[in-house]
Parts: sequence; structure tokens; C-alpha cells
Amino acid sequence: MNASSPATIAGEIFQGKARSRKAAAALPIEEKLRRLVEMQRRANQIRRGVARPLMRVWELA
Amino acid sequence: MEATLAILNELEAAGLVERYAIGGAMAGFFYAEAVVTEDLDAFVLLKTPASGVITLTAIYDFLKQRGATVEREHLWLAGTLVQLIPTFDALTEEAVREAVDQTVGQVKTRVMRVEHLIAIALKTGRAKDHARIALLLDEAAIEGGRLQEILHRHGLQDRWKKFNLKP
Repeated sequence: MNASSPATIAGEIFQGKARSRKAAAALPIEEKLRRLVEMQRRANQIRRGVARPLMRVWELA
Repeated sequence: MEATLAILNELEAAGLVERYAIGGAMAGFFYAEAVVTEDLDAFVLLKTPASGVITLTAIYDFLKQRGATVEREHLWLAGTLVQLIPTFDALTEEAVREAVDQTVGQVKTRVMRVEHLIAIALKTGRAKDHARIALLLDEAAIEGGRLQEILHRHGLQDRWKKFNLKP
């Protein structure tokens, strides 16, 4: 790996994240809905751990 | 969610609402990346009866006949948690009237324009609304002229300036 400053490395990471978000924004709505359901399930795992009320997980056909 | 949207379309076709449109976080999915949300906000433009008294009873009855169950302020409708929100001011009414057609799977639906989503979030003004604005500004294709017209028409320009001044 080439030597780089921490700021350069961090900058590259943030640029990668931005590219990732743009790609996520461009996904078809059906894929976004699948991701939502996965996020709802993961959120509930955390909520169980901290004794918060669970959210209803959507049922995609 | 297609079944849910199909039932909302039936609701409109039956004349129980004049028009509906998806708003809130779910509408943001059509313009930006997915974020976690629990419910689908369906804004409904109600027909005002001669009595002037508006009620959601007939709408709820119609939806219950199609399997909906009431859960606090929500409806569990064909696998989706839905919140029906009557348009409550000139901005939300305009947003529903000018909402655009979209398709989910094989089902047509209607979604508020991104410029209206931003204006409504700005007016609502909670931290999560500001976060939604930031996300949309970052990822969505926004018509600047349309947004400015909406902000002007609904007296939101000062709020917009303050929002943009936030660190």
C-alpha cells in the first residue's frame, strides 16, 4: 500500500461513502423496499437490546 | 407494498378521497437512498361534505373491509403500516394535487414532488425533518426554481434562510 497522510486516506474513504450513497439513491424502488425491511429487522434487534418497543416489519409480497 | 397501494388506489376510485399521494420518508425513497422508517404516510385530500364536518370513518370502514386493522394512529394494511393524513394546510393540499405518478412493481401510485417534500419538512421543522432535507439536497435532482416558488407561495423563505445558515 502506498504511504498517504491520514487526511488523504480519510478523504478517499469519505469519497467512497458518497459514491455508495449515490448508488443507493439510484436503486429501483423495489430494491429500496427490500433494504427498508432489512433495516427494520436490524433496528428491532437493537430495540430488543435496549427494551424499546419494536417496529412493525413490513411484509413484501 | 403493491397490495397496499392497490387498495389506496381503490379508495380513490371509490370516491372516498378526492386524491391521495405518498409523502414523508417513504416518498423520499423515490428521490434518494432508503432510510429506516416504520410507516407509509398517505396524505389524502378529502371531499368536504355539505355539512362541512369531515370524518375518516367511511374511509376506515372501507379499508377494514379490505383487511386493514387499526394500530394506534396507524392502519396495518396488506403488510404495510400506513398513516392516513388528511391534507391540513395549503401546502399539503398543493403537494397532493401536484404529486406525480410513479410505479411500484406493477402498481401505479402517486408521490409528492421532491420540492414539496422539502417544503413540508422545512415547515414541520423537527430534527428528523431537517435531516431529510439534507439527504434530499444531497441526493435528489431538485428543480431550484420550483422549490423557490413553493417556499415563496407558502411563506417559508425565512425558514429556508435560517436552515441554510445552520452550521
